[in-house]
Amino acid sequence: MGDTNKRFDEIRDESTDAEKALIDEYMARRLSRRDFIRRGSMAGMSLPALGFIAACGDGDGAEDATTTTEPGDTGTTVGEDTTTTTEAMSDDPITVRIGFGAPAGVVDPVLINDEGRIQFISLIADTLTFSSATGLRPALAESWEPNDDGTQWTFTLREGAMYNDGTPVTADDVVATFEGIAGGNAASALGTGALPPGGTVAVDERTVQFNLDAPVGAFPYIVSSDNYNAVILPRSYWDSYAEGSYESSFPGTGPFMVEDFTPGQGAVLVRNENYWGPTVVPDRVEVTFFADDSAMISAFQEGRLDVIPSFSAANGQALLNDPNVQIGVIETSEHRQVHMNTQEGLFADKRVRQALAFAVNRQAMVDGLLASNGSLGNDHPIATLHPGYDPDAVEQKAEDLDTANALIDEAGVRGAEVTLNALAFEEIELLAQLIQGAAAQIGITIDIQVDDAGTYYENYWLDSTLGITNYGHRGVANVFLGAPLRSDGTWNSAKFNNPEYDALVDAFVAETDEAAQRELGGQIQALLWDEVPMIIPYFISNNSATRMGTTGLETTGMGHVVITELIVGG
Amino acid sequence: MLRFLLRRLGLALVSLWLLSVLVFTGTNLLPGNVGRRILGPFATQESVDLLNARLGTDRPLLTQYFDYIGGVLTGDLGTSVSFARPVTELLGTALANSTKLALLAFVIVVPLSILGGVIAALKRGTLVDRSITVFGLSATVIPEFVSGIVVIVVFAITLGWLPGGAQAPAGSGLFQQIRYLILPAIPLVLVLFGYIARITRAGMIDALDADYTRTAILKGLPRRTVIRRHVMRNALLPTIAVVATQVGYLFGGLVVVEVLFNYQGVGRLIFDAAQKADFPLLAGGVLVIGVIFQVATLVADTMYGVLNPRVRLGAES
Repeated sequence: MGDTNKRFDEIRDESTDAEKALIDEYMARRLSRRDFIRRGSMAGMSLPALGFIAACGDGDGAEDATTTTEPGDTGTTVGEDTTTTTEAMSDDPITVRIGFGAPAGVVDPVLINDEGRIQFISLIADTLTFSSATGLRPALAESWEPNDDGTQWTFTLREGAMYNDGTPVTADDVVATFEGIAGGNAASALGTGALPPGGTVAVDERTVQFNLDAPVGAFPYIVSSDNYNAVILPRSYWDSYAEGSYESSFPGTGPFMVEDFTPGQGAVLVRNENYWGPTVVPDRVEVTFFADDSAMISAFQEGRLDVIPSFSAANGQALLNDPNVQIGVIETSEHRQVHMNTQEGLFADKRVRQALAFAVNRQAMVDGLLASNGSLGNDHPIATLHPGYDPDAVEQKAEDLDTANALIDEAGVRGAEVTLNALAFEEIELLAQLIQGAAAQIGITIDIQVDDAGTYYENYWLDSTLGITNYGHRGVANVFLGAPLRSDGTWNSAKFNNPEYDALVDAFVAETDEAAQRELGGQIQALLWDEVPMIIPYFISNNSATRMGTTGLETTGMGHVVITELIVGG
Repeated sequence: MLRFLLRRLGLALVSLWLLSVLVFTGTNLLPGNVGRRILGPFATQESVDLLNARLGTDRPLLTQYFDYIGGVLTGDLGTSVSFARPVTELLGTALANSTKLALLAFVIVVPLSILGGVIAALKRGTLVDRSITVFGLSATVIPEFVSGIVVIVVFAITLGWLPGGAQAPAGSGLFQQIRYLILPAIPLVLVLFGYIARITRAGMIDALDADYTRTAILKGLPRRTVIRRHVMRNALLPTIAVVATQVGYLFGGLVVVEVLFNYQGVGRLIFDAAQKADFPLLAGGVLVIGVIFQVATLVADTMYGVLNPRVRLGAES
């Protein structure tokens, strides 16, 4: 209690006159908590200070003025005269209304593989590390280190971290989690991380060791939010795991917990009082699931939503052109791979692959398909944001019809016909048409066949001469460089088989030194630029929409949404 | 009348059984591996095989069918493979939503279109008749996604009069829920108005020209009585049949409207289930719509019988 008063006085004393006035207004109950936070943030008060003062005037109706302050707690009361007013204010929770993609199925960490479920679970559960748009940062693990050759990684868990039911997070939970997700959607990611079954070991209550089959320099990304299935859940959950059992109690360590959930429709979340992180501003989050972007966008325009964390430029012109909407753009490594079968058919000849790559107008694609919210691709999947990207490795490819036509004539394939298989997803069908147009300029006729995602992945993804596949964001390029391009890669649509490439990727993945990895990255970029097993025309940025003046929204290319510090403007 | 009803009921049951066989074979003939669709393209083949074994989708078709039909007869429609929840629970919520929307659309469109049809017939050949007919036809050919977007942009976004999402917040009262359902109901009303009004108009004109009407007029009955007792009673027979056939559409065919207005109804649920190769949910949904359709037809037939003695007498003889 004394500590709380002292901290309160400190903050007030350090505030400007305008801030003091706001604090006094709030404590005198002449300002709602919501307005206090909104105006305080506009006045430039720091978020921890805002959160502390807000909590001082807030009792959430559950605790009264005599509550004692636990260590680490932000405290709930100041002064003895707040009992009645606390109750009066408890009707004024800060609610954030947010639109997510409709979950593709049951919310189950083992099965999650779509943006809607990633968005949703990111509010209620955490991974060991967090792969943000600006790099990796600690989440449930506060530190980590590799052994000398990068085959063993040791993570130390955050002290005092708890699940939303108050039970502590232990190293054994981490072991159970990685065993539990191994058979599901995460299998490929864990394979990329060279983490074998039984490779995760609890050293003590707070220390976990990952023993890998091969050195992996970027292993902390394998246990990060990039591997969205790897949210840490209690051993007890995994012991009684059944498909869909997650929805019975939604365990997790995240900032919010589920109060109400209706499949396909939406959910109501409330603040998790056991959250390990700093202040969580919203008391309540109303999540609405949307099966399509247009409905979500009109809900935002009408004012039924405060936040859209992700929408495609193709569907979101109305928002992008609206001067009253705050658009957040972050660079991601999400991209489309236009693979060409390098072993048989028209594209077995490297010159034809190169010709098509020179025939496409990438800038026009970024401008037209992505409303300029993207960056140019250069036929290798190492994005500018990836560690290991070498900006000087190769020049940017641009439309060059003279070179393209010369290559076609050299290969003697003018007049050839080929089918382009694509899946119906966001702008891919339009991309297919642009490629068709580009090919026509060099005398190649393309017949487009578009299928739904299920049919495409089952029948054409790995068995087509020419195809387009979508690849979601990853914080490091390891997955992109491995499965779709290695000679033994399980997603190798281009049937690319190049021993020199395989060796380079092995070295790239194992390297823990950044400069050395960049050197290897440059060599990979150059090799793929020349061999062109796939055209990567662009990388797609993520667009979010909020009301003017909103602060504190963080999104990732993968779909994670951080709203702990969100203050809705407007 | 009872025999007539029993015969209709028997036919309905046979239709439903045929429907179950059709849906079962149809969904199993469709390409698509259930485990692969759930786990996605990036999961390993071992995981997919394991999931298929757990779901039982790798068993012989006949075994799966008997399992399924056994469940249906005991009221158990199985568990949705994509949502891992009982199909009855998912369908229950969706059905409640669909019923609300369908009811509202019906309550608006049926009286409105019958009135339109009656007026058009009574004012045959006049500007009023032509206006109603042209408006009805034009409205019918506007696809729901066009009229839906127009009403959202105009009434929800620009004017801000009504919400453009159909789902009212949890705990909303009846009037609040109706407020949320008005805009989604408009495209449905537009599609159905012209159709029902035209049938009503045609029925009315037939009845107006009939001998018994002339006789009634010549008998000196007031015009209002002639219209109500002699004309409308006969004219509405085909209308009832048409309205009944639209019930299935209003429950299961509203995928576009439900997606546009972000509403979790039966149509969208079935569409999702088909995309995800979620057989139990798809089959359960189609079966439920089949039942609704049959019930609607049965109600229509009964009303037909009540209004038109020739039908029930014909059945009894």
